Amino acid sequence: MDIQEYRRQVEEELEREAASASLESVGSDADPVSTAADPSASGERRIRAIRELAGSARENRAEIEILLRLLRSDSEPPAVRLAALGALGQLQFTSPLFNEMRPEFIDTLRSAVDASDEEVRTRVLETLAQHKDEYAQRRLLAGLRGEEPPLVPEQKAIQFLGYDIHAEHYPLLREIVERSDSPGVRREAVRLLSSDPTAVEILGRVFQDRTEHHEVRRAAAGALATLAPQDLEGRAKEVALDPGEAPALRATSLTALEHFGNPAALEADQEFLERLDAGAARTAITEESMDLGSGPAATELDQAISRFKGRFGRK
Amino acid sequence: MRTDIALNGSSSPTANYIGWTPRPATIRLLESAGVPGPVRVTLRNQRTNAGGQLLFSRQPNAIGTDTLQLDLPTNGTPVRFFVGGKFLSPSSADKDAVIAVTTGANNAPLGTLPLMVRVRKDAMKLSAAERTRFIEAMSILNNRGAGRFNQFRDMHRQETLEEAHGADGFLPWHRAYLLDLERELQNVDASVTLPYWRFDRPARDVFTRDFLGESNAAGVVQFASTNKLQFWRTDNGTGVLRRLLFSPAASARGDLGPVRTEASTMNDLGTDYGGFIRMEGQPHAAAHRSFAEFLSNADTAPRDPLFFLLHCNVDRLWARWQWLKRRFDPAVPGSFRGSPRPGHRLNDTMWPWNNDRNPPRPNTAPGGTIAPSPVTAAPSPSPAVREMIDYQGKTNAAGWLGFDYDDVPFEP
Amino acid sequence: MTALPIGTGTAEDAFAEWVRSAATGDELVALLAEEHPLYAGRSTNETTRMRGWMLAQFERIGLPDAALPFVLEELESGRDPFLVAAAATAMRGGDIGAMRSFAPFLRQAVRNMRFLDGSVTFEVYKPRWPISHTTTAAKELRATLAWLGQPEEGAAGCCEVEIPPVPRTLPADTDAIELEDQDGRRLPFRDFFRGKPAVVAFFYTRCDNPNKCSLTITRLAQLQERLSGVRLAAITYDPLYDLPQRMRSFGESRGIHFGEDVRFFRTVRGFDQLRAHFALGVNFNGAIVNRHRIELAVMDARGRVVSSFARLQWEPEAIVRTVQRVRALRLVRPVFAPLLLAILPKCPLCLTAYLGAAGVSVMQSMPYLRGLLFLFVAMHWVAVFRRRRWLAVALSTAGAAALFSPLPVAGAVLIAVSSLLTAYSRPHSYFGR
Repeated sequence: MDIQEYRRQVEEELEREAASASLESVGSDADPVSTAADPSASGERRIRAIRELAGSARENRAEIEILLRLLRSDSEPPAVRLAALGALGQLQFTSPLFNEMRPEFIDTLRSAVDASDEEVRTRVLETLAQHKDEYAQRRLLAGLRGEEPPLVPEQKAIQFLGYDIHAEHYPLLREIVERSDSPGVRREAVRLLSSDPTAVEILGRVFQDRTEHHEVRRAAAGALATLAPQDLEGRAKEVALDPGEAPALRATSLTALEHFGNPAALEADQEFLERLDAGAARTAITEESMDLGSGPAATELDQAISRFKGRFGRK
Repeated sequence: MRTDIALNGSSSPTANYIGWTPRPATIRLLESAGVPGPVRVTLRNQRTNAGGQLLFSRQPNAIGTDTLQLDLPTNGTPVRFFVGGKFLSPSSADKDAVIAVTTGANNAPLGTLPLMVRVRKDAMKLSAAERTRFIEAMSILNNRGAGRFNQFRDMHRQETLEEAHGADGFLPWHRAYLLDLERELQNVDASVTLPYWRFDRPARDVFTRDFLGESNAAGVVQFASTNKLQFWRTDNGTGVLRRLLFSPAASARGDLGPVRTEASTMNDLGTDYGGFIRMEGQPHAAAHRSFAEFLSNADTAPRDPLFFLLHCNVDRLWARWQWLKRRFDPAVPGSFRGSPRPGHRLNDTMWPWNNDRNPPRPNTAPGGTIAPSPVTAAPSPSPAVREMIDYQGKTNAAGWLGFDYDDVPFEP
Repeated sequence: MTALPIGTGTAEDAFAEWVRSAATGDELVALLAEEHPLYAGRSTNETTRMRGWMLAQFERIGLPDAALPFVLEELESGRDPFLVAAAATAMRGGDIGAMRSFAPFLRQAVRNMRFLDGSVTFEVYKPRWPISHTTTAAKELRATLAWLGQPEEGAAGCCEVEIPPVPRTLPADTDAIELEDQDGRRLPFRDFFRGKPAVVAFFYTRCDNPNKCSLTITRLAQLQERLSGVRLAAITYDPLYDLPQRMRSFGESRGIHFGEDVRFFRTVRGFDQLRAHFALGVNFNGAIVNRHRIELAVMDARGRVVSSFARLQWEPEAIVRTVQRVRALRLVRPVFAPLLLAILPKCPLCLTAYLGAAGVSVMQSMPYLRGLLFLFVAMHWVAVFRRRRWLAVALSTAGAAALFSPLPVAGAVLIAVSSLLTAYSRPHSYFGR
């Protein structure tokens, strides 16, 4: 296409859009500071005002303080508190003032971890966790240990602790892998155990445990790829060849081998390739393979096998 | 008799990558002893129905034509010409754009040169193969948390925030950052470019198990068992946490409402850099805040590979604004403003590539100088802000950075 | 050291109560050493809480000299608001005249905390928010600068402090140590650390304080450019996690050029012996490092630690000088080794004494050190004087005079005796152990 013509088209389109609605025209408020803090204004108006503050507060300490106050107050509607948190989150990127105000921000967040609204609580704890906050970690752990009512679901608590390598959770994670009924929770625990080199044994056990959910086992494969790559290589070959295994896990094993394995060794092992070929046709009929979710996983296994063969098979 | 073409000042095949900017090339005759000269040759696209398409010209800074005739001396003296990608016809595979050189009425072939019109594309429009190549290169760079990707993770942290945010160097710094990463990816697979995520449009195909992963309610990103990103690892854990505050079938929005649209970014932020830089808040920070978990926080954002697609779009918006407002020349005040802080003024070099570890810079500078490229000598190893502005080399051909966007043309 | 009512496994609350109500300054100093069994098996958060709580007491009970390095360390490299705020308050427990020269450390801390400050309190252990009486690291740092009468603007940073090897009655058996390098090659410890002098730093790749491990390796890379004929190594505290590829990547992205004489190692066997051999200031919670100091050792060609830098940051230039001295010392060691052993510093002030003595020993081989020596001797004299040990002052004065006479060795002996007198007055440990 002619470039001038392209420019004309783009400019025309921009003009059309400008006529319809710009962000500015939708959001403008004569006095965003008052509107944001006005409990009698509609939630929608207040959020629009907070959105404006997210821009204007960049170099305005008083406006940042208003946002902090909104976030802190448990009597504010959750949507307003979340908007204030959103605005503060933006200012963290853009505001040259924000660094100085960090203690107040952290203090506000800590004061809000007991918010009555679950989403506010979750997002506040998430923010503190990202800052590796000792207080948030202490409260999350107390919840996980049953010492006080949990602030967030177990799965989120584990994730949040995972923002900090030094959070005091590894023994607890091992315990959770053993005791939790929820595959989602176990998966999160396994994901974080990928940082604990003393967990190799338990991770290996999870990876090879056929009674374990295959998504948890895939997470164990990921953890082993980090902590004990050589260990994983041997186990992955076994799993990849086993028609009784979940297709997703077999495909993950092959992907790991393809990605991280020693190429020369894999090329030399043509027997493995042949057996892989023979095994590909067979997927044992198990509870899992009949599960609705196994459709794409089975296709993925075929893809993984053909890609593996393409890469390591003798021409 | 045959011809030989050298592109980007190099005869190495590794230099045969271009974007929309016409790049210098030379062609010469070989084995032409005794042939009466000069020999008239025609340059054209070998295939016009597939692969990247090329335009040829005799002059620099000019949109070329589909074919070009040149008279080549038989003594082997090289003849200069320019070749650029044909806008909106980029390559989709390595070296799928081929210059065919012929001569005479019967178009006798004299030689070919395969090259790639390598531009950054909309992640929604990538072929399955392009997606896979990108994912694989990222995964290899990451290498389960033990690879070179770590240095990119370390460049963008809480205590390095001031180098890259909250002032006018925001856009140039991230342009250098993305370029450095893209070059590392190209060292793994030369055909890879960074895709961009248009956050103001629905992008369902980006958030799939085969590509950047599908988030569950807990914010755990699930990858297909064939997707190598399943082994992605940063800091303390394998995997990615990303909770969308919007539906993947819709455009991005967060707790504050929608992310500023591209049209608004072009229309409402003025024609000077001083106004345009407000985009650091909306749409940039707003796009970050349309997620919970990694992307929502400046320190943790690079832990999510999507971060680089988000920032690639931020950079594209700048490039597109530069094109629309004609803001490429660093000497023109509207192209850049500059904040007082070191690293944010036009002639300041940027951390960490300048290895400056003296206050107020951070005390370590991970990663060293910017990765070199076989296609261009720019930017310098420790680039200044200035070098990031005219990325197409419009005002200074030697400053060409070697990347382009699929929807931002080269306009002389 | 008398038995303390706390140690391994003491509950945090009991610890906090004891620290606030009963502990003496010297007892707290002993507990601040990272390798103290008190920290074994505790998390980083717990370790941080305990250390910050202890540091904060010094404002009230007075800051012993031996606690100063721990305070300076936090100011120079710390990035936890609780610890840095505690260090800032601790300094106010010291002698105002003596503390004044440390203002640059406070300014450095202000700089370090710019992006990292937080809300802390020293009124309650493990507080529960919301709380009203909070402070911040920045506030405490400013308060201490004001207490010192020092401006907030001015030189930041620090000085370097070198300490001699830690005395060991039972040298660890390095034969039990097997190493693996960044390329996966395995070798016995002695294969790398015998035959040439070596500089070895300690690190781990997942250290999240960039002022510590990341900076250590960055500086090691600078050192690499300035040293030849010396082996360079970095050994990880985290051998199970830091697999070869991880160490390689960490080093390369900080400018290390690996080679036969420049390698990173993890122990595949004998980590405990390594820990003992270098008296590493580190502790663990399971396999995870919960706290460590900055440390680097200079070793002679026989694999013995001859000098070490710990806790405070080191400059590559100082290591270069030390390596040169190690080479020079080889000539005079037979005479001076016993003397050096005798005057191992057991307090901050003996340190300067040591430097003075070392300066003498190499003066013959390195005449340009004369100026430096003069400085050391002056420092020594001031140090001894401030201790109010008048006999030692007299000996130091006589020694100083003799040093610049035709009998410099006599001067060194006098100074050494003066040091010993000062050292024996305060039998507590300093810098690490």
